[in-house]
Amino acid sequence: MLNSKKVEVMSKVALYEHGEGKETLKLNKYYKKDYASAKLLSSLPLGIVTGILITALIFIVDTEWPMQLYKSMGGVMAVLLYGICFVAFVVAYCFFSAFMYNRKYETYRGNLRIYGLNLRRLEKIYDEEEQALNSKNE
Amino acid sequence: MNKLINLRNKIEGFYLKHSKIVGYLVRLLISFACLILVRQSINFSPFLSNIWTILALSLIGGFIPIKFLMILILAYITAQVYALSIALGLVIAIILMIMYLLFFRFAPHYGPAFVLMPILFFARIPALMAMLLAIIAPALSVVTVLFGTILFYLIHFLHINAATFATATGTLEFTKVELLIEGVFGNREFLLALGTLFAVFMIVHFLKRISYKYSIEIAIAIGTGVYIILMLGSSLIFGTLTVTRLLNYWIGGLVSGALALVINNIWHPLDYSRTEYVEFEDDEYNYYVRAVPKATFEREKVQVKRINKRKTL
Repeated sequence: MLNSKKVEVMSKVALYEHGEGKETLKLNKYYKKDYASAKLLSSLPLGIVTGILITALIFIVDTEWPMQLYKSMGGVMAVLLYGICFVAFVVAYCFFSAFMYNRKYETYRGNLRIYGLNLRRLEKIYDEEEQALNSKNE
Repeated sequence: MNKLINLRNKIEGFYLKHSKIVGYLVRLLISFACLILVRQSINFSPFLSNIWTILALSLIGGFIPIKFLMILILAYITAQVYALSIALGLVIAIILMIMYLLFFRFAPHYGPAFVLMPILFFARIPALMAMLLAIIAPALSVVTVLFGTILFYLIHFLHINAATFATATGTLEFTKVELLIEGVFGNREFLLALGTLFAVFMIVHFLKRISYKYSIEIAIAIGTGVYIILMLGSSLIFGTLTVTRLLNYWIGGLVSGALALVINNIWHPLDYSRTEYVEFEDDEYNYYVRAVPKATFEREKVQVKRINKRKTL
């Protein structure tokens, strides 16, 4: 006979695995700190690309302003200032992405806990069924 | 109220039954509405403006995940502008890419709200998105409202200056870019809309968290008032107030507030009359909890008529 409780828990587990779980179960391999660090590193190239795009936009929109800065401050100082701003932006971008992925991890972690709870409930149901079968055979 | 909740339950039930088809239709409708609206404003490429192209793209939009819908619509905007001017297309592409890399890469689920912002602007109810996001989303989602406002004003400026952009060619390409950037980011109306929507979002977001009865409803009412006052006041100060604007701000603000209230009541139906206050403590904290039960509704009475009686052995 069908065990309705088992079917209910199994449906919940299967629904999670086929939906949100596809992405979140990957998170389970990492600790929060490792996950955020990995994402921080992977954000580095995108941070550089964003910085370059912003620089390009500034140059396209107003070519005079960077040239004036270059003339007034001198070549080395202007490049140095640009370099500092660029690095500061990339660092800020990486930390912002780490913050966002941290939040994402926290959100998904809650649902993963419920998934784990359901797995344990399922295991318990299996144990109970096995015990019932054994006692019947004896 | 009961009718609204019943309606919500019916919609929910219908969605659960036909989730795939409904999801597909919603994505198709969003993409079609956005693409048609963009075409009405910036139809520079005959191929892209063709209704069959738009229908084909909408069909694609229906099949792809909602996360990629935003990319499809932004690519369409860029391609339309590129047909007008290479430099403008490049600048629009850079601006949209920066927006994506700065925010939507981390929160792609705000993509639909972002592309819906221009539609709400055209319908004169941009405050609706600001209030809804303030209620249901975290404070960071204000970026969606701000970026959506920038997107609308970019499209709007290209629309009203289409003739100027179309006539200038050759070396004047970069002049077009300067004109676009100055026209949008130096536009007082744009800055006012940006500031007003930011203020509305923040006010609603922080007021709804205050521990009052009907805090969300009060927040929406105050948000609506702030929107109307700021838009009308700024227009009065700068001497740009016309009868059309007066009506737009009044009706737009009130409709936004009313729609936000209705959507909120469908989404979070709360019954404040049964609010309970609980106080308890553990080793570290004292807890003062206000529990507001969800509004219940009278279920439809269903009579079950047994045709075959159950046989007993």
